[in-house]
Amino acid sequence: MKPYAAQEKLIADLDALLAHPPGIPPRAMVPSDVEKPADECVRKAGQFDQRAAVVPRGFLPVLGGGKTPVIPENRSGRVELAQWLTDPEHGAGNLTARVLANRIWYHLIGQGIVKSVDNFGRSGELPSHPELLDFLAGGLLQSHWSVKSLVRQVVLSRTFAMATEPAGDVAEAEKADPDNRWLWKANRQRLDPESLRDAILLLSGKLDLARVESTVAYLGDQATAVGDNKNRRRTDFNCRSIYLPVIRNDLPEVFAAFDFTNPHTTMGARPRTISPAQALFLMNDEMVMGAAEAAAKSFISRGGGPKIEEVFEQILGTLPTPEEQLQIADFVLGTAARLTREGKPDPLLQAWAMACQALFSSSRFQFID
Amino acid sequence: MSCHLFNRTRTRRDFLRASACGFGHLALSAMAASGSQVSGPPGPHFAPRAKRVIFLFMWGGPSHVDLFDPKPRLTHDSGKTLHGVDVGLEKETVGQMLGSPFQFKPHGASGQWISELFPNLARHADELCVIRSMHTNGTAHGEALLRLHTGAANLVRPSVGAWVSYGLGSDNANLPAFVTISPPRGHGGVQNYGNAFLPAIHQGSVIGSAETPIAQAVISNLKNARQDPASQRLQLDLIQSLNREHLHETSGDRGVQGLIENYELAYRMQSTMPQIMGLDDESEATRSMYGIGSGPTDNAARQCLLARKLAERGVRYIQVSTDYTWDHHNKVNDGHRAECAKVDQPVAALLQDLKQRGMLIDTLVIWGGEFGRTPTAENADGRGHHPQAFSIWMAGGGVRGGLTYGATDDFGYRPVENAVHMHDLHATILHTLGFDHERLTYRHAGRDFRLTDVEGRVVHGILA
Repeated sequence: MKPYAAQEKLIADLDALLAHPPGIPPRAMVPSDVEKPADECVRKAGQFDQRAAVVPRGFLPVLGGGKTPVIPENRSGRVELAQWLTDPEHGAGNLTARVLANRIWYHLIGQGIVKSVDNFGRSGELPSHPELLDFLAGGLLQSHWSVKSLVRQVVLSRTFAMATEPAGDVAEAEKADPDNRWLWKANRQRLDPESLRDAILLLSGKLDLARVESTVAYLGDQATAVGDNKNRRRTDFNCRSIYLPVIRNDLPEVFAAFDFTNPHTTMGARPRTISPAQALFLMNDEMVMGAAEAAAKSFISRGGGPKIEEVFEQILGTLPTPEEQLQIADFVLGTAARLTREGKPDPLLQAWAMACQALFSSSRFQFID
Repeated sequence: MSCHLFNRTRTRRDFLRASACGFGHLALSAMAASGSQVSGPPGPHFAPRAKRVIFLFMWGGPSHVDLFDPKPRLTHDSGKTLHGVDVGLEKETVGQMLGSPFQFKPHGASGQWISELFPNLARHADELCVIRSMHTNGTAHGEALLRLHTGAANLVRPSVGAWVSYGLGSDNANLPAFVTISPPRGHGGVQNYGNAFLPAIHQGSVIGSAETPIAQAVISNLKNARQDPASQRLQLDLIQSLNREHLHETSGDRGVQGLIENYELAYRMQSTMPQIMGLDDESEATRSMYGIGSGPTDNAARQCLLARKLAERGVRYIQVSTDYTWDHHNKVNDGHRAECAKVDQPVAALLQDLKQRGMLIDTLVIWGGEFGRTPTAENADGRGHHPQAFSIWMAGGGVRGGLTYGATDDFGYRPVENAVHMHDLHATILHTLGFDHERLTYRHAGRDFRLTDVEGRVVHGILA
């Protein structure tokens, strides 16, 4: 037997491993306890360097029937906090479930059962339907916090299925409840910036549905740097909006214009605003115009050329009125004729691209009826 | 299809929406859509002395002992050790004193002391109200910038301009109430001109950014790269007729109505903003008075002239920022000489121009940085950050010109007379605009918030 054969094999194995290292497994950041957890002191006015009295870690005794968990000497209390937050018997579980159920309801229905989604207490608003809130929160607890089950439950409800403009005589409801607090119709909801961008890219045929590893890796430490940031973040990816880089001081244009949550803070309900930056984005942004042109190209390449009804329905999910059909036809023909006169390239494609952009910009595209 | 489009104007909210126009209107629409309580801008609590503010922000921290706060003893003792006991500190030594090499002289009838680095500004000495006793918190730029701009560094709060926009609304239907010219990207970035919990309409509208020369600055998406205005108008007509059809179907939905008006406003902005930003319509005399085209003054000259044009057109709060160029940890003398040369003529011209147009009387001009610089040396010939004491000046609307307010010790280390904290400055700015800073509040997360939180007192001694 060769001397050191076993060692040589080990070395060969190591060389092979180094030559073809296995991929890095998926990673996530998780907190871990420090070696010697200790109590924190109050920082006056929230200033890190203004120390005041040390306060022992603990729980709100008002929740969970007065009995609060004890944090073992050598532990931070993080696990105990997680358990307490979700424990309906001896912790804050019932409140947590109500807050979560209310937020899910708010996202799906457009208005919270407790309207002040971010303020769920004495100074917040009272629930419009307290029994419903308890019913949904109870379901959440029973399903062991299954968000999916709760979403399913809500979207299968009659309330979710209602129209924003119900048929029949609604004069009485209008009068009794003009703000729709009692949910006699659906709330007209504005598309959030992620959905708006995804929808535009989807119609352009460019949307990449695959998971993206990172849209910030190329930035290096510029992603977190302050001062003069010369290496600017990009947003020209065709990925879903959820993968776009969120640099706190440098949000993607579509997020900055359309009420993306302020990334400096936590927020249950996003602001809902109308501002000129939004109109300017849809009218002039290169991504929007590029997507409109790509969409136009794909409509044109279909057999028999683009049909107004089809384009309208594809983009807006509804059929045009005869008048709208006429307006779009007029616009496309007029624009194509003008571009031809001006000697511009691809007049028909450009005319359709402008029409598609107009549909992306229309209020029907931005609201869910 | 329902045809009772006009039957549903039923709430106070709708009435307010229908009766307003332009930016203020959009703020109302925005709030109506979010279901918050709606009312017009709170408006002043008492007769204002200023209708608008121009804040000239010197990013990095100008050195007070080199510009507005002469310290003969510091110059005399330059090179010696500054002991803690000299400035009321417990530590043995503070550092090696660094005297200012610059000559100070009293200027104007008031005898306001100004450094030789500001020869043009010195001609307006009788307009300036110099506060030598400013102090703030935060030794780092980020914290100090956030405190200066929002009053808070550890929580997200609306910026001063956003509060002013909320309080006064816009005076021009086609322009926002708060515009920030060349804002810094770092040190808090957007938070420094952000609206925080106030409606988004009050966020500062951005022109360019600090590191970009203003001549090359653009407003995001203000211009269409593919279409000319006539062609775009035809496209917008199509958008709007589709929107009106939708509005009809939705029986006059507030959000759809808001969107329709928003498109018209955006389209008008596309033509009004470039007109304002282009400075070609200004006379050659005006352009050269500011220092456009002549070397180091060009950028600040363009910024200041743009600020005047915006002020003239009804913008309420205009901030002009320099690049991050005042932070002289090394070679503070050379550095300050260069920075002052950039802003001296443009800032003096702005005061002159406002005066000529009769606007200085109701425009509050503020000049200053996030903190001062140490009277002691850093790296032998530089100065460190110094939030303990620094100078700013104000001019115009409601403040006393020719006044030197407050004083620091013999070394410029800390205020010894009439100290003015950043919160006091904020309270005073609001006061000149007619607001009681304790009553200009906004309800958020269950309580009323204000710019000065639980601090701030109006500095009555500087008011005219």
